[in-house]
Amino acid sequence: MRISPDEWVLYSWRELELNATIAFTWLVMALITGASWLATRRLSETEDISPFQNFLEVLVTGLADQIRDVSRQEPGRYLPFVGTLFVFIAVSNLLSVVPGYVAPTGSLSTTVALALCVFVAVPLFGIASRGLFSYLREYLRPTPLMLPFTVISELSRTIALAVRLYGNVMSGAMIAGILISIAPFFFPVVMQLLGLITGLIQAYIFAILAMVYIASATQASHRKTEPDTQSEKES
Amino acid sequence: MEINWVTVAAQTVNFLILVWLLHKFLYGPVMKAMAAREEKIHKRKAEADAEKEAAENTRQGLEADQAKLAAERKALLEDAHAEAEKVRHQLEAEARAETDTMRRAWLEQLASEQTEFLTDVRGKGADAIVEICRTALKELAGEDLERRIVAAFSGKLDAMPADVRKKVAAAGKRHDGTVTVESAFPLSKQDKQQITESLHTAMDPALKPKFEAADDLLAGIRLRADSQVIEWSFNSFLDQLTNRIEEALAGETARERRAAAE
Repeated sequence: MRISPDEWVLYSWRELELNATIAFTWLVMALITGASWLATRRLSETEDISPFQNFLEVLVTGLADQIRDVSRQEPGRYLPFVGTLFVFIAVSNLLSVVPGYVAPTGSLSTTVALALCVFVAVPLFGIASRGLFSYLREYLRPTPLMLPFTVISELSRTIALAVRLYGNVMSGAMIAGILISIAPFFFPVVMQLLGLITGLIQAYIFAILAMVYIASATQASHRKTEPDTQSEKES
Repeated sequence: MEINWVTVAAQTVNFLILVWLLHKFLYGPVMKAMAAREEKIHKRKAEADAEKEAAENTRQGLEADQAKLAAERKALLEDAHAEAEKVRHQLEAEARAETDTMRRAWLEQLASEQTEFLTDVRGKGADAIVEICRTALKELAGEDLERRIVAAFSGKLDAMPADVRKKVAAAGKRHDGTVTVESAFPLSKQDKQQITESLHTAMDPALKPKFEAADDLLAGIRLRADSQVIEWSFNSFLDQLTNRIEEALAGETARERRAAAE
């Protein structure tokens, strides 16, 4: 049994290997992008809209509302990044019901890549919102002694993001695989259903945490004066 | 549980590409479509609000027009009432004036008829009285009326106060003793003789009576000497009769006037 799809090499050319993680990621990307393109190709601006467009609008509006609720800011600039995190992880996890499919989020490499994106996006959004010095000064508050702890906190939460998602998805796939070998009829179905729920929840948690980190970086000074405006969530 | 850093790099790139793709194909178009729809709805709502406001303005305008029309109608009705009242007063005044004119004309006509009647009564009454008296006198006493008139005139001359007799005599003398004796009926020779004797006895023997007929006298005799006049005739009786008839007519006329006024 392969623990990570990274080990499943589909094609190799000299030093380069095309493993299942990248291949299924491309599949997911193609599916999401294709569906979006199909749906938005003929968007209706009237009240008469297609069910698929309606679904996409519900999805986008829901994401925007979640971002607005968490950040207390207009969601426009965060929607592409945070929304894509949710959509990509959710679709990757949901497709695991398809036989033969391996979720790319079950690869630590993928989750690390996503966590690294968040790790980089947080200071970028913070600096874009508040300016470089204002953002860096936040690391020295309330005292410069806290700087190492702040840095450790930044690193550890990034690692936590990556490992949490990887652990949940990989363990779901592992449990399903083990149960198939033990009791091949009933339990795997139940576990697959639980896996769908877990996958959606993990997508939601990953995206919301990313948004919380970004919001805390963009609104740190606000948090000092308005303590109730921000609430960090840790799962 | 190994991390394939090449895969990590590839996945990072993949994710960033996906962010760009979804931004281009999903979030951008969907947000734009929703914003456009929202804009359309806002626009329609604004149009509906504007139309509602216009309708409200129209309604208020119509209400104002209605109130104005009602006020104009009221004013017209009041004018018409005032005009009708004025015309009514005018017609009443005209009718009253016409009635007054007619009443006055009627009263004048009545008075004229009354006068005419009285004149008629006087003339015809005098003739009738004279005739009745003549007949009565003749049947009762076997006497002639004219004879009794002459006798009464002679008696009156005798019964006259002395100063009056003197005045008449003096007046007669100023005209050669001529005095005029007028009578309504032709005097017989005997009558003339009796009157002459009475004059001579009562006043002066020098008086010379001149006998004339007078149409205005009614069964009587008048002695005229210069400005002195002595008369005995039915005129005074007729006057009394006329006065009584006039009184009776006046009472009747007053009753008619009261009835007309009511």
